[in-house]
Formats: sequence, structure tokens, C-alpha cells
Amino acid sequence: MKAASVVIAGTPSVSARAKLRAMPFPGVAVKACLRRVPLADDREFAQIASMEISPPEPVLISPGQRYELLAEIVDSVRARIDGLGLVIVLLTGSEFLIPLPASLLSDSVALTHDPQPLLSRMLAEGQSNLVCISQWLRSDGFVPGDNTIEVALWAATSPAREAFLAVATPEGLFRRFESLEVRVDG
Amino acid sequence: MDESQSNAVRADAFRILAASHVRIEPPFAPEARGLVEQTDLLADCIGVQVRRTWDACGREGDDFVLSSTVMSSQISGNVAMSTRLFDGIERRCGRRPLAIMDSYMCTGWGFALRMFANRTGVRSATVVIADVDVEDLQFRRGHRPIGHMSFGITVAVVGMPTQRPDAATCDGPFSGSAFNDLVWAMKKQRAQWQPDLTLMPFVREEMDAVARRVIGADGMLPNRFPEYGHCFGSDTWISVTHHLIDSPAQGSQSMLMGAIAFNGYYTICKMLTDQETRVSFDTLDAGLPAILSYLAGRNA
Repeated sequence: MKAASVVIAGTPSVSARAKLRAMPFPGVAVKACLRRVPLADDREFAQIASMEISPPEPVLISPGQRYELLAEIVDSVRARIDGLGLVIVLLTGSEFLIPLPASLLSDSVALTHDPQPLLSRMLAEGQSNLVCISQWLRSDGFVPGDNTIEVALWAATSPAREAFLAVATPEGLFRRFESLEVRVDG
Repeated sequence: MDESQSNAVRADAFRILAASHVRIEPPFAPEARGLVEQTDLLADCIGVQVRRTWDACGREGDDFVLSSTVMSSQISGNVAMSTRLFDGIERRCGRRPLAIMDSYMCTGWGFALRMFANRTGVRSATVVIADVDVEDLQFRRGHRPIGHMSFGITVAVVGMPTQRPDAATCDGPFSGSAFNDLVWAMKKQRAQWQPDLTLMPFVREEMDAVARRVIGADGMLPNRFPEYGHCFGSDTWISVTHHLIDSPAQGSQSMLMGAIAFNGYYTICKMLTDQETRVSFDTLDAGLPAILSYLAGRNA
């Protein structure tokens, strides 16, 4: 399966990218989240086998850790940027029995398979300080990814832009990413 | 309830302009040559149903999103396939969906309506609940804690409320399935809002009995679990369609609609129907000949 890739038309006010090159929660024992899928026959085994992937990225996180990382980033931008609009997060599917954290279920967050159309809709309404979190974090199960993440602020007011630049740092927003390839555009 | 209270009810409720459900018996298009062809057929089915539902209520051009519980990750998590799905839907109904919101599972429609109500200025929106198991895995037809399950597509066309932030409640995560949390929240909202009808998800009879005892059985529409099993996010929409087909609304009716995701979330939405609300319910044998006939408008 190909990893999702998203190209958003236009240019964000400011954005930052990072890559996960090491375990984000070092020294922490992680409960295995995987379940055995109760497959019925050869056809079903073949069907699921066809979905298996072998991405080259060495870092593999659990679905719960993926949710935790995203919730931390959502909480950070929400806490540091006044007047923040909707936070649109690239997240598809669900992991049965692994609940989404409250931060990702919030009224200020929309989870979608592709942030671009929703973002365009909100921009067309003249909304400001919209955040897009596009993530391709490889996790257990069938979730591919190159372990990169992009956080972008669109239609930013000047104070929001400054606040974003202050928080999008290796010590701030990307502390779990061990200061990897942080880049600020715009 | 006096007239001023009745008007207040209307101000903070969504208005159901149309709701259609097509129940799709699995397996879905087993004659198709793989996932690509199945995805094209799924797109056709969604697009045709959206177009027919819009035509039925005379509403065109709504923003719309897809929600789902069982949509294959090979579609929603794959750009080429999700683009193909959207292309096909757009070809059939003339509009492109804004998103696949499948992380919220069976509560996705409520989260979508909350987003439209609280975060946009749209006057109406369409939510498609697309639960068609293209992979046809047996465990999705029956699950120990849930029971048997049915598949299908719901298209809901909904007018936005005037008092937008009060119309949709979404909460979680709760421990367990969130069913108990939904029941208590429904009881509280029902006491405050006093709807004519209460609509709950289709659940095992013993769970339904608890809900009726706690919330109150008066005005609660039938639990259709014995008939259909759990139908993911479509349960309460199936209830609406059956109710209005059996008892066409003479005036405005207020409804409290609840849904759970077994991962521990719930949604409760305040709804209104009236004599203008259009509904339909159909059952489709999902073999390829029946699908092609349906798409051509020869049945369902």
C-alpha cells in the first residue's frame, strides 16, 4: 500500500517539518496494541496478507503512541497560539479498542483522510489561523509511512505566526522527534 | 411544551431535509476484478444515492463528507484509491466530498455535523455513512460484543440550526463502549429538551432494555437489532426512514438521535423533521448484476 501524500495548494503562512528517527518515548515499556484478526479461510488470509507492508523506516510506533504524539502537538499549538482556528489532522481509519484521546475528539479538531479540501473550505470562508497536521508516522498494523510530520499554520495573523515560530522548535512542538530536520518556511 | 419552548427547540436543532438508506447485502460485487473495480462500483453507488437524495428534497450543491466504520484502509489510507473514489462520486452526483472522516467510527456523522455547525457558515450539509465491506471479512458480519451486523449506505441531508453550538454533542473517550455514557447523557438531554422521539443505536436486546429503563421507553423508536443487527453509524437514520415511511410527519417532530463508537465515543444530535422531509429505504443484493441494475435506475 502506498503511503498517503498530501499537497496543499497555496502556501501556508508558516510551517515546520520533522522526522522521527528514534523512538519517541525512550525507556518506556509499551503495551502491545495489536489484536489477532479472526480470519475465516484461505481467501481472508490472502486478503490480509496482501495488505502487509515492509517500509524501510526503522522506527515503528504503536497506534496508541501515534495518537499520543498527535494529541501532544494539538495541545501544544492550542496552548501557545491565541485565536487558533480549526486544527485539521490527517488521520484515517481506526484501531478497534484503542480510543482516540480527548484532544483529537475536540470540537476544535477535524480528523480527515486529506486535509486539503477541508482547509480550502475553511479558507474560502475567510477563517484564519488554521492548522494542518499532515503525518505519515509508521505504526503497527497496516499503517505505512516515512515517519515525517508537517505542521502548517494557514492564514495566520501576525501574533499567531510569531507564536507558531516560538513553539515549532526541537525543544517544543517536536521534542519527541529529537530535533530532527525541523524546517520553517514562509 | 408551549409555543415559545417549541420555537426554542427548533432554533437549536438540525433539520432533516432528506435521509435515504440502501441496505447492501454482502459480499459486495464479488464478480469485480479486485479492489479497484470494487472501489469504482462503491463510488457509483454513493454518487447515485447522493444525487437521488438531493433530487428528492430539491437541494443541490451541499458540502458533504463521508463517514464510515468499515471502509477499507486500502481506500481511505491510499491517495490514489481515495482520489479514485472521489472522482467516481463526483461523476455521479456532480460534487466532490470534502473528506473521509472514518476515525470516529460509528459516531462520524455526529462529529461531521458538529464541525459543519460549529466551524462553518454553511446552511446545510450532507453526510454519507458508507459502510460497505469490500474485503468481505466474516468477522465483520458478526462480532461477540456487538452481535450481527449489516452493511449499507446512508445519505443524510441536513439543514443547520440557528443556535449552532447546541445542536450536536460529541464526547469521549470513555472506558468501555460508551454505551452507558450515552444512555445517561440521552436521559439528561431528553429531560432538558423534551423531544417527541428518541432514537438509539441498534444493540442487543439486553442492552436496549437497560436504555429503555433508564431513559424511558415512551417515544423511543423500536430497536431494530433483531431485524438488521447493528448497522454501524446508520442505525438511527434507518429508524428515521422507517418511522417516516410508516407514519409520515403531519407537522414538525423533534428527535434526539444518539450513536456510539465502541472505542468509547458518543454523539447526540437534536433533529427536526416535518412534512417536507424526504426519506427512502431500499435493499440491494450486492451482486454485480443487481448493482448495475440499481445504478441504471431499474430497481431500488
